[in-house]
Formats: sequence, structure tokens, C-alpha cells
Amino acid sequence: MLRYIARRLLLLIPVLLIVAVVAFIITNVIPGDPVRLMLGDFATEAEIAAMEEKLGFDQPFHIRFVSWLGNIVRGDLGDSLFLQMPVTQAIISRLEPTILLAIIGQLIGILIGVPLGVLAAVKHRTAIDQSAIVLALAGISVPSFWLAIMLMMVFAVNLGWFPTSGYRPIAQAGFGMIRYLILPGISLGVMQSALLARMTRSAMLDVLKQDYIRTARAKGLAEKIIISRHALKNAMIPIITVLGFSMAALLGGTWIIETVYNIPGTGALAITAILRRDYPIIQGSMIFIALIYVVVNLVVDISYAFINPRVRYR
Amino acid sequence: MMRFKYITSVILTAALVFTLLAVTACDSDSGTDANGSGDRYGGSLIVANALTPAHLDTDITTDSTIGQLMFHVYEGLFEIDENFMPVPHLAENYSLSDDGTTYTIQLREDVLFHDGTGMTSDDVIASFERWLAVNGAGNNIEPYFVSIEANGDYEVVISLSEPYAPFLSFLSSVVANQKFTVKPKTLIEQFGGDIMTEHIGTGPFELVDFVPDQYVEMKRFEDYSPHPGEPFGYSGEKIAYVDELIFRIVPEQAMRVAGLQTGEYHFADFAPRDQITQFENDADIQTFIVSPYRQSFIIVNMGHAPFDDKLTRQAMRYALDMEELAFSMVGDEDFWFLNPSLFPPGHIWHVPEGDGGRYNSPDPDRAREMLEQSGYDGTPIIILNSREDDIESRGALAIQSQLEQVGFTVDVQLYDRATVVEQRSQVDGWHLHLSQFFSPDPDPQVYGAWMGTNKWIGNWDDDESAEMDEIFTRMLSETDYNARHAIVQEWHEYFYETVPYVKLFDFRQLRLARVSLQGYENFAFHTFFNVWLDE
Repeated sequence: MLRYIARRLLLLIPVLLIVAVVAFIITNVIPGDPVRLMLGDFATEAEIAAMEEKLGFDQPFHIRFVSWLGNIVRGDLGDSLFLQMPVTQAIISRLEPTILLAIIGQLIGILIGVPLGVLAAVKHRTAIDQSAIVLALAGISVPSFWLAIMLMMVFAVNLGWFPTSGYRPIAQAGFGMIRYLILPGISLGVMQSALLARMTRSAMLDVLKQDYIRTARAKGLAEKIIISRHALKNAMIPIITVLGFSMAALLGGTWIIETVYNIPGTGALAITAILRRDYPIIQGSMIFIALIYVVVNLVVDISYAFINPRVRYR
Repeated sequence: MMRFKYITSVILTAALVFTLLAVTACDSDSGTDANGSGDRYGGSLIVANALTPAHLDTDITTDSTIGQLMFHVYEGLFEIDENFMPVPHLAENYSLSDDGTTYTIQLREDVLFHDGTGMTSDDVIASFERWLAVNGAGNNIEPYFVSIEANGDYEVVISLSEPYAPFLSFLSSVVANQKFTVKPKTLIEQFGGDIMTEHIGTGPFELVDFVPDQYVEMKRFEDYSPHPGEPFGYSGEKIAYVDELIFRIVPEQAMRVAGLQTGEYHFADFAPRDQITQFENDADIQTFIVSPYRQSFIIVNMGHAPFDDKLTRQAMRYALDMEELAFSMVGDEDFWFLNPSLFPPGHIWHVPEGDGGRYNSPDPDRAREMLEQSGYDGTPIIILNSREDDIESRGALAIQSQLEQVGFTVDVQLYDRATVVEQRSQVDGWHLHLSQFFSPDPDPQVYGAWMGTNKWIGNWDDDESAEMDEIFTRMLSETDYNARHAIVQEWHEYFYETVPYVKLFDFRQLRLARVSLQGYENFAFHTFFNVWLDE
């Protein structure tokens, strides 16, 4: 098992390196000029040339690439052009709201999605099942930014229960930080719940047809116990896979919600970096997202072994 | 077993209810209460700021967002008054030599920096030398600069090689961060020409914290000694009534408005103009229409055909109906007005009839005729603009429609801003670009950097651009107001004759505040001294 984990971790290096190189090429190919943005509309050509020289943009592509690659190999992602800080520090300083938001979104997704999926499977081909499917479809179809604005209008503007936007870190607000994350969390969680409900329903339907469920019923076990202990537990493998990927998608995909709710997370960081061509941050964000996917994949694979003792890795 | 489950569920339910209560009870921004007893001092003023500053060094950028925030922290030797005239601020007084080349400036002796040290000539000299080297306006003055010397602790003497009429206007200009502000010599020695990441000014507020893309936090500078003059904009008496001034960066318009409605913010800029009636009917909200604010222009690329030909540019002007454009670009008539002058009414450099009747004179037949005479071959005219700015992106489409009616072929290309600023810096790949200039420019000379031979992005390089340069050269050295005003009139006439840009209209901005915000002065830049919270 340990060897397996070590091997998977070693595989991280080439994957991240490939992502880094692609990120460098993409950011250098797209049009846009960070220096002109930085210096404002009416900067003179002399001011622009001086700043380009200071940032090394006057060097040809291959020289910049080699020096950048040298830094990357040493783990140095460079400094942000706009934020006056190293890229790693910029990303780390934005991690807290993104991670909390992803966790809350995921929790809301699980709390709504799994029971809904189980209910739909248990009440298969009834009105309840149909309603659950319609709800799940609606959840997937509603654009998250629209839901976000609607939730904000109702619960923040009209009812005043939550702040409209922004975020205060745990260090300042303690547990109060959650007030800023509930509406964005619901906006994210609704789509997750829809995905989870569909996955749970189909996994449960498969399991409920198995012989051991019939045996359990034949020996007179209560339906509740059959569902919770025998069926749901065995349906967990596909659900865990979906959970893993959706967690990765949430961590790397909170961009829209962070932008709508003005939450200073890694997604909002990446969006603003793209808009103002902060190349090092764009590259760092791409590497960060790749890292999330690789690590989450690994965690999902390892968790199989704990849920299903028959799965063993070598 | 059943009893155990019952107890567990009761505990869980209680925990859930407690959590919800705790969550809704946690106040987000407690501490915004001001003294309600008639005392103006106290409270935290929270501003929802649409634009985000890349850094806070006012010398090294032309981005006005930075000045808008940092002119609470930094002050000029001179600031403009309500007539856009420069008046002494950190300076006590000044005199100009008879030959118009030497400024002797006495400094106020009661000015303290935020680190507690007193402002002296040495600080002014160090700041001025940095400003000359790194600031755009400083760069313009630099060729005329001879020396700056201290005459004791509280007097500096600045010598120029020849008269430079807009010198004091540039020193006090709020446009594009041209203003010369005074910083401690020690700070300048620490950063040199690099972007400053520490800030020590003389203003009524001192900087506490800056987290890029999130907030800029300031607090009252307790030892500030206000200028005794009549307050206007950045000049005169400035009192920091609020304990804290926090600018939260909120790029989404809907979020700024929603936050203002719920009371999270006291002030929001760039509010939706089309919702003004709704805001006016809200008892908790005050509306401010900012005027003068900006002017809309079409920047013409004269570096290649067809607009290297004056006739084509004139044909374009006759094709455009400014009123129709203003309606489609801005909307409500409260937010725009037609003005042929490049300065708003009331400004000392306003020229009401400089256009010779050529401004807003739509005449499609004449436009068609001139276009035919010019030999325009149907080459598609590329209008290059950013999709982020609603006025400009709507304008690109409205202008396309009007130009096509007289025979131009037009291709509108909308990109994100980063792409646009790069593309428009090239000679090829575009013909027209919509832009906005700040209306309260202190001096017409500002346009010298934008209009003339190869200035800014116009790629204008012919006999007429040389003639335009010559007008600006004369304007630069003419120190008599009336004689200079005549040159400004001549410049307007030549502008309408040669059409390097097309002036469209002047427009206004909508700002919102909670009714608790008192004393707010609706200046083109939002300023938060002399305001207090009545909560």
C-alpha cells in the first residue's frame, strides 16, 4: 500500500511539469499586455519599456522559458505582477475561503443528494421517484450564478439574514465566517446534490436487485436496516468516486460563485489574474488545479480500500 | 435503545438550532456605530469600490483608481479649487519670478507625516525628484527642469529653463495621477524608483492595510493639522470624522448595490444609472449624480488608410448623431449632455463655440459625398473595444450602425481589456477605438500628451499633426490667461478641423450612499474627509 502511494506521488512530478509547460505556453500565446494595464491608459512608451525591462518581458520567449523552467523545477512559481507577493503565497492566502466553501458545498450536496437518491431508489417507479428525478434535473439545469443572485436577493437583501457578499477570515471573524459561506455554499451544493442524487439512485437500484438484499429481507430484517447497512454501504463505491471528483471540481471550480459573491478565494484570484494577464498567477493557478485533481484521485483510490476490504493495492 | 435514539435526536436538533441562531446572530461588521449624540466623530465608513488598484504608488501609474484612494493619504503642495484653479495646500504661499521661470514656494510649518516627523524642504525635494523621474506629468516637465533647491527648512526654489504655463496645474492635477504629492525623504530613499509598498503621507487618513483585490483600510491621522481654507475636493480644510475608512473592492455592480441596500456599505460607486428611480424612492439611500465626470471620444487611428485622410475623418463626423449615440450608450438624459468644448461648462478653460458649428452636425448626404470624394474603397473599418465597459461596447455597435448608413463597412471587435490595450498600441489591426477622458482636467496642456504627432495611440504624423504640436508649444509658454485662452480656442477650432478624435458627449456617473452618510461632497473623485456617520 505504501509503495503504491509513493509511486502515485512520484507520478505527480511529470504531470505537474507537463501542466506547467502548457500553462507557460498558453499564457504567452494569448494576446494582452499586463504592463500596459498596470501603468494605466496614458502611460508613455518610455515608461512601458522601462517596466517591461524590469519584469524581464523584453527578453525573447526561449530565454524567458528556460529561466522560468529553472525556477519551477526548484519549486519557485515566481512573483505576481500585480499583487507584490510570490505566487505560492498569493494562492495560500486565498485557500481558506475556497476550501471552506468547497466543504460546505459538498456537505450540502451530500445532505440533500444522498437521502434523495436513496428515497428515489427505494420508492422506485412511484411518484416520489419521479419527483426526485425532476428535482435533480432542475438542480443540474439551474445556472449556479442565477441561483446565487436569487438566494442573495431573498436571504441577504430582503430578509437580511446573511451578508450580501464578501468574506471575513476565521482569524478575524471566528465561526462568524460561516455567515459569508452559507449562501454561496447552497449555490454550489444544489448542483452537487443533483449529481449525487442521480448517482445514489442508480447505485442503490443496482444493489437492491442483489441476492443478499433478498436474503436479508427473507430473514426478516427491518427495511431501514437493509437500506442503511446492506444496500447503502455497498452502493458507496460509485458514490465515493463521484464525491471525489466533485470535491476536486468544487475546489478548482468555485470561480463563478466566488466572483458573484466577491469571495477572495483561489477561483476569484485566477479570474482576476486572467483579466489582467498576471501570467505567474495564471500559471500557478493551473498547476494548483492540476495538483488538486491528482491528489483527490489518489485519495479516492486509497479510500476504496477502506470501504471495500476486497480492494487491495500493490 | 429507542430512548437512546430519542435523546440523541433531541440533542442533535438542539445543536442545529443553536448553530443556526449563532450563525444569524454573528454580526458581520459590528463597530460601524457612530456616536449618535450630535458628535460627528467616530464610526467605520465602509465604501464599496468597483475598481481595484494594482498597487498604491500614486507616482508610478496613470490609473486614477489609485489616486482616488490614496489622495486621502497623500496631499499635494497645490490642490485645485472649485474653479479648477491650483491653490496652495501643503505650500503656504508661492511667488513666480518676472521671467516666469522660477517658483519660490514657502511650505507650511505645521505639517506632520504619519510617522510623526515634520515635513521640510528636504522631503519636498526628494519627492519632486522622484516625481520628475517616474511620473508621466513629471516626465513632461523634466525637459524644462533646471533645479530645485532648499532655502531653509520651509522654502524651496524650483527653476525652469523657460516659462511653463501649466506647471502648477500639473502639480495639482487629479487626472491620471499627475499630482505631485509629498512623501518623506526616508521613504523615497528606501524605494527609489520601485513601486512603494509602504506609505507615509501627510493626509487626514493614514494607511493601515492593503490586501490586493480585497480591501484598503485607513484610519484617522490624529495629529493631522488641517489647512484653514474653504474645503473643496482635495483643497482647503479636511477633517477626518470617521475613525476608520475602509474601501472594500466589490467589482460586481449588483453586489455593491445589494450591500448598500442592506447597510453593509455606506457608499457605492458606479451604480446602475437605469435604476435611479428605484434608488430615489428608497428612504435609506441618497443618490449622487457626479457631474462633470467624463467625456466620451472616438480615438481615430491615423497611421493608415482610410483615416490617414482628413476627408474620411470629416465624413465620419458628419455621419454621427451625438444625441442618438448618447441615448443608446448612456440612456437617461439626466446622465449626459452635449458639449462641443473639451472642458465642461463652468471650467476656466471652457470654450463654448470652438467647434465652428461642426459638433453634432449629422448630415448623412454630406458624409456620403465626402466619403466618395475621399476614394474610400470599402475596406472594413475595425472598431476595437473592450466588452467590459457597457458604454463603450454599446457605443461600438451604435457607431457601426450610423457609419454603415453612409457607406462605411464596419467590423466591431470586442475583446477583454487586456487584449484591447495591447492591440490598440499597434499601428495595424484597428481603425477606431472608444475611450473616455476625465472631464475636470485642470489644464488644456494635458491634451498635449494625447493629441499631436505620434501621441498616445493615434499614430498621427503629418503636417497637420505638426501644426497641432505647434499650438501646444505656444500654449505651454503663454502665461497670460486671456492670451492663453485664445490659444485654447484656436486648438478647439483646429481639433474640429482635423478630427484626430471625435468628441461624442459628456456623461455622468451615479453614486449611492446610505442616508446616514452626512457631509458628502459630490466631487468627481469620491472623497471622505469632512463626512460623518449619523447612525
